[in-house]
Amino acid sequence: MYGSPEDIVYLIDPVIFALQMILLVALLLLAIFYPYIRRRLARPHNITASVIGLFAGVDDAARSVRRLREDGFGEGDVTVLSSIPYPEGAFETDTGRSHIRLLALIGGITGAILGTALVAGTSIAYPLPTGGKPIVPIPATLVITYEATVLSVMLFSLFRFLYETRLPSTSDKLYDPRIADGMVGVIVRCETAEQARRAEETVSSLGSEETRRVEGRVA
Amino acid sequence: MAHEADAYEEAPVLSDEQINRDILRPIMYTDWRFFLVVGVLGLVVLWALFAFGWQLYWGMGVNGYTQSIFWAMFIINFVFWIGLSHSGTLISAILRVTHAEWRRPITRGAEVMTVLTLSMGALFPIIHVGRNWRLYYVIFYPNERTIWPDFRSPLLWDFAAISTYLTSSLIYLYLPMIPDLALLRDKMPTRGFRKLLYTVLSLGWRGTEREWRRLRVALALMAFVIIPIAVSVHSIVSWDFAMSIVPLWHSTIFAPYFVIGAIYSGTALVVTIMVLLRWVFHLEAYLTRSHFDNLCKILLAVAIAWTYFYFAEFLTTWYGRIQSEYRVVLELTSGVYAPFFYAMILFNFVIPFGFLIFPRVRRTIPVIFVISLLINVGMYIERFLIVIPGLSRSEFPFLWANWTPTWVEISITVGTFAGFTLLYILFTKFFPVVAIWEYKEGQMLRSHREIAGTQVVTVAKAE
Repeated sequence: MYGSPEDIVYLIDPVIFALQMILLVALLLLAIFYPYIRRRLARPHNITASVIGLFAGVDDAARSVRRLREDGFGEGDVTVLSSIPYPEGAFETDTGRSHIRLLALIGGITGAILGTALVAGTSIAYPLPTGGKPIVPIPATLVITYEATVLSVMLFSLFRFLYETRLPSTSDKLYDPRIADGMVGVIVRCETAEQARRAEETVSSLGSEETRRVEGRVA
Repeated sequence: MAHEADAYEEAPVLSDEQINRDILRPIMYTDWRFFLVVGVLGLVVLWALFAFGWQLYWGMGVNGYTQSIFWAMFIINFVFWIGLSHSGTLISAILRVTHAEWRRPITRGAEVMTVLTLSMGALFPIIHVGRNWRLYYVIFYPNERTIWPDFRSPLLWDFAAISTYLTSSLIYLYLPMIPDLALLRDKMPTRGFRKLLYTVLSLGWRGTEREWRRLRVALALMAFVIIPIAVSVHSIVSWDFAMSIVPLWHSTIFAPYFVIGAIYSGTALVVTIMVLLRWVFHLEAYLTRSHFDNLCKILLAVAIAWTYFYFAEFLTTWYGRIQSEYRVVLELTSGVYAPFFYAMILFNFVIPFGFLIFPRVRRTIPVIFVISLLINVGMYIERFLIVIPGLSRSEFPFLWANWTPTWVEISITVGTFAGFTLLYILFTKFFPVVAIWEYKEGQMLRSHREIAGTQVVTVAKAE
């Protein structure tokens, strides 16, 4: 009824197995670096300049963001950088939904299936009768299935977090190390020179300690 | 909550720059004492490696095994270290899930404790099995030897549980550390190895609103998931014993009893480490007496729970009078193991319960430091009393024997304690031991209010 262990061994050649592992690692690396690759391959937007304003206080920064939004800058055009998380709704530069929980659920289901398959599949392939127990006993299988499930939840959550935050990212993004000292940065991406001028004016007039304009497409 | 406000009343309001300076000081400056401690610990670790090499060369016979006592010091250490690993991530996760504000200066130090103790624990099955050059036999991959791991074996469950917990704890340690790594990247004055290290590890974190929101969601989710993982690990370690028919091991209560014991020893180690961090790095403004008061309340509750489980386990065996089991009970209470048994009761129940019920003691840091150390001495004895007596007085009297550790076992054991301390010190040298952004966030959320003419500290809820 079962294939003999020898059959399975010759079916799964070590070289093929090694290739499968390499493919798996490559897929994992692809999953991690996918956002970066996607950005690299994406067609450039029409951004011609970016403006960054550094604020000493978070209230001024929040006011500045609201004014920019009133001036017609979209949600994706304004980014706030800070060294601590501010309460939800403080800036509203990112109102999109996170799918980390959904991916965690998918990860859990995937892990459960893979865990069960690993135990049941390989126990059938390498049958080892012991102590009158079935070859694939449910209680023992549940233990490994449980561990595989929770491990997958953690890994899927991590990968989804990296995907949604576009991390790891390269250093060609607008940033200022003074944000680490508590300053709040407001970045505005502009499509025209006129927009950049208006953004500079708004940010400066609302208490920015320093306003910089960077020409070209910077994330 | 009253105790949260207490913790804040004692902690002064600090500026962001002050917090950066205080917590990054151990990373930015090094003095001769660091090198001295690292050097001494490194030598102890080297000696342990020599002892392990000795065991590799001469075989497992260099250990104090007998025909019946084939699980000894390495398994005691394994259970002890895995138990210690329990509370770090667990405490951090529970406090995060319950939004306990006083968690902020504690979580990082506790999480790294879990990762390092777990790493130490995971070494012992490898050391214990012997013939380590054939270790690859236990890795499951299609091979021409037609061998495959037996998933019905609790030892394999161990492997699955420990590797899952270690991976999860690493993720749970690393994820909230990314913003602090970005801070270090920005603060490193010169280009060099460290700057490169922090640049790579911080993954290009800038602190956008998107990043913070996602971090919050991911951490909340992972905190929920990691609690059952932690519980599963020590349950499975207990099943290594409970699935056998050795007297006193074959017990249905072993899983929850092991979990409680693990939480107990782990929490005691968190207290020990927090006291040392406060003292060595002058973190008095961050780790206040109220933090220790809260940790000691957890310790007290767990001490009572541990005693209850131990008594329940003991009573059943004592009442049942099954000869093979009762023989071991007699050895514990009035035989060769009696001094250890009563020392365990003293260190694990009498002293903690007798002292920690007093609020004044819970806030006296030198006293709770000593108590936390005694608890772990007691817990090590408890691990010894779980592993050895059942084997030394098995069903066959002709196999009865006593066990004495050899210099090899002792050296390897001491080496792992030194290794843990060394790795912890190195961690504090490269990474902030208090979650800087979390602490700053806590500062932002606190404020003073006047209620009925009295100034009180209030803490806003961010989510």
